[in-house]
Amino acid sequence: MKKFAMLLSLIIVGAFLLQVASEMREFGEPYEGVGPDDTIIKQYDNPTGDNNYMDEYMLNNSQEDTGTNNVVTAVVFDFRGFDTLGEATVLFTAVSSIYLVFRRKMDLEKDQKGKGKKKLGSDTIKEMSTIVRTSSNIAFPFILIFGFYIILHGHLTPGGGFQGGAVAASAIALILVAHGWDKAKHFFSKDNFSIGESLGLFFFISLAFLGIAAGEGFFYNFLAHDGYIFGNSVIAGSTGADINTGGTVPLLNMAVGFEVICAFGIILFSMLKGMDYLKEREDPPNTDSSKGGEN
Amino acid sequence: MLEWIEIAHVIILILILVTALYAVYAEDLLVAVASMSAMSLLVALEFFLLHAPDVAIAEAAIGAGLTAAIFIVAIKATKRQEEDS
Repeated sequence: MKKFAMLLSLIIVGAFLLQVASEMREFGEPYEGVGPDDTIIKQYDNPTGDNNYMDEYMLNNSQEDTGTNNVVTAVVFDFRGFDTLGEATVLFTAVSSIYLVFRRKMDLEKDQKGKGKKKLGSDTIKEMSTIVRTSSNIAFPFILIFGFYIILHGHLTPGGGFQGGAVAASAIALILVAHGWDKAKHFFSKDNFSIGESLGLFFFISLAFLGIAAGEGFFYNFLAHDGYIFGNSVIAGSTGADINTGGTVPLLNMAVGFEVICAFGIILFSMLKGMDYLKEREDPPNTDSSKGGEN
Repeated sequence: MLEWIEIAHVIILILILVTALYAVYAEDLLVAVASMSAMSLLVALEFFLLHAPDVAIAEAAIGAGLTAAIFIVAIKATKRQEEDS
């Protein structure tokens, strides 16, 4: 019965997907609009000369409007900055709830501080072999720098705050997994990650509000073409990359990247700490032998 | 006459299906996580072939790297409580 229901739902969903796929345009074909006299207009025809379609406007004007060479980043952080604020808030909320779920452990630690510390269960994620540790030590700075590169060049090359932050966070995950919880908790601190995440979102929203302070609107790119911070002008067309362009876009990228790094740090840290707690509850450590153990 | 890029698309899509099915039917959960990670990598490759490098970077970093790490931590933290039917 269960298998039959599964098969039936699979067939129904598959039929819908195939129906949609049959109506899709060929890959690379632009949107076909219907003109005034029921004529079909391909987007690249641009019969009237004014920008009828939003994506066409963005492709033509993003360099002038935002000073950003990478149109995707211009859309994500400038034209549609408000959506990105939503994304960043979703991430913040998700991480906050993870923090809340695994919070019990930290309360436990706080209670124990007065009564003498207990040694925590230590064989949760063990240190891996020397080969793994050495190679992850070698790879760690390169992955981290590549992540920072993607964040910093978000307005020039593919990528941006979210992507670069994820790459840099995977470097932190590498260290956490290779060195095990006991050693890794001396390298990083959960409180620092927590403060960093809040600061990232705070800078992001502050930059958005500074647009209002500059006399325009929420998320207005007030730094573009200013000549100061990231303020060089971009010549329209296929130009060479200049990192000193983009206005608020690189700054928003940095804020989001910082937030993403710290958010994934918190997730991994919370889960590893939760493992510690479970281990301790399963086989409670002997209180006599564990006195004086470090936390 | 198919171009090489179309052949590459077909091969990658078939491999995505194979790795996804293997992730579902694998007995060992760690093997399933590894298979899912491989699927994410193939999806990232497919995104790159479809000229979406932004999405490809995000998929490779989050899907293949971080999700796998989080899943492995979760598998190590929990115990199997019931036998499968």
